[in-house]
Amino acid sequence: MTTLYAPTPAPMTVPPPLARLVWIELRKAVDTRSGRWLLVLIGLIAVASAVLTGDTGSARNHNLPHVLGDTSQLVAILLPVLGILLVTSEWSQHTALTTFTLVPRRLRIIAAKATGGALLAAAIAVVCVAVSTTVLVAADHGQPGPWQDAGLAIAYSFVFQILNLLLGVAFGVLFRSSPVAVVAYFVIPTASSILTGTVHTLTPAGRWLDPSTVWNHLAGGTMTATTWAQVAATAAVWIALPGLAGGWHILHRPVNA
Amino acid sequence: MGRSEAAGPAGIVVSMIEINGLTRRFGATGISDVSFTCRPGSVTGFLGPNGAGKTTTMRLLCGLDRPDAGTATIDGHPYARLPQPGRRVGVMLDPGAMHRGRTGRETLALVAAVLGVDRTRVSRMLELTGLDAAASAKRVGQYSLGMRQRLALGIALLGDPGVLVLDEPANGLDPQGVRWIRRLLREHADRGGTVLLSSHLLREVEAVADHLVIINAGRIVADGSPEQLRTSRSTLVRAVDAAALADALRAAGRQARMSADGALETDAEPEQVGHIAARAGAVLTELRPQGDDLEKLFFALTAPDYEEAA
Repeated sequence: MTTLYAPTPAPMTVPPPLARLVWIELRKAVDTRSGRWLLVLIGLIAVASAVLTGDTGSARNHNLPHVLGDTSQLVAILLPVLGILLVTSEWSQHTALTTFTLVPRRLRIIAAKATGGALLAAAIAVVCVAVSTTVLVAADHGQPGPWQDAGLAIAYSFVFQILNLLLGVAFGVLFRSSPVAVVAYFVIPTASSILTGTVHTLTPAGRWLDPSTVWNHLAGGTMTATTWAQVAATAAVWIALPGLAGGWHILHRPVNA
Repeated sequence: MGRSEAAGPAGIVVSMIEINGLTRRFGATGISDVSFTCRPGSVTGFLGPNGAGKTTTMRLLCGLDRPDAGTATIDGHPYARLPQPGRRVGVMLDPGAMHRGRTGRETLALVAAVLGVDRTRVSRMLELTGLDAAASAKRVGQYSLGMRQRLALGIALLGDPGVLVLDEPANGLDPQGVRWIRRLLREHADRGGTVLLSSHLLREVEAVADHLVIINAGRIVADGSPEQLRTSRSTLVRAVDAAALADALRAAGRQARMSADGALETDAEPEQVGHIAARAGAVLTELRPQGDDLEKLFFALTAPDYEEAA
């Protein structure tokens, strides 16, 4: 069993490019049954919502901004969950150890997950636009102007979905546990909505900081300089802040899975 | 079980692991000043009881945790600085670190994508680790511990690394599996590879390791070839008043360890023990050299100290 060996030059020693890590994260989102079912469920909700608002109900609502807005809002309930699971499955499934052993630059993994998540959100926005358009065309209500302001509404819906998914990624990075992050996502923003909605002194703060209030401007299809500033403020509080806090922990603490 | 295919056509990179003064405390436990070197062409058996600090050392080596002091490097570089570590170091720390919902083949395919290795390598690793088509199409959640262990080894070997770092690789394997992994590691080292494998069982590594590092309670207590360790003799001595003799030995600057049956083990030569005993007026009942038995040595080195136990 003796084999002569000669030292050979090192094999490929370039780090995996970020684009490849993003592609791997997207693949990880669809290569398990639970991942596929979550995406199928999101698709079904989009179809059901588009049919309900675009083919029934008041004729005033039979235009693309309205149908797409309703569809986006309904779908957006699940997008943070998708974002959370992109991150927390590494801990709940104990794969963080393998992932960070293969890619010790942990920030690259977080960046790949956030980028992959944004791409998934964009793809889901495309699905929402497609089903909303299809329903309106198929229903053919004969209404004038179903496509008025459609371009802006479509653009806003992309921003809306991406923000919702990134909120999930940030919560996942912060809590690193699927049940804790999902419960936190359903409880904390809801509590914040109730608080800012009922306590009048807090209402002005809610206009700036409550994501469900602020981001619905995007789904509603009307944006002003003020509402854009409000969107940026909520994104800073609900995405950047938890993302940075959790990111610091992942970068500096031991990997435990 | 497939022939040895761990090396790609280009051969493997010769690498050295150097661990120097590595310290990491977790309250009362942890590791202190751990130093040893793993050379190319050798299999280092990292031995110690459960909780002695083997996994802690390996996690620090692989950049999963940061030491309080000391360094651990692969050819002078910290693991976390390697651009594509999976091509240099094959790591298996926990066979549970796999997604239960993915198939075995998909698990390997994802790692192959990270490493940028050819897809045919996935099939070769499945063949090498003895996971057939049916097994590789099953989800990992349905795997036995032995199958998971084989898949985890497949992950470690996928990037054709020169260095293997394996934590308790024989856990959960059947006797054939244990023989297979021994042969695989021996062949890897014979081709110039560097292997560090841990175990809490001496017998598991004795058959394959040509370098033994023994750790107990976070400190290295022995480091050398099995031959060196066998000849690092100690002396067994019994006395009417063993505690008094132990004190006399320690006062003379020698180590003395008392086993449960009252025998003392010391690093002094039998003649020196006789002199020390005579000066102390101790009555000896038995005096003989020992140390030709690795297993005895292992147990002696890793037994709780007489004074700690008292």
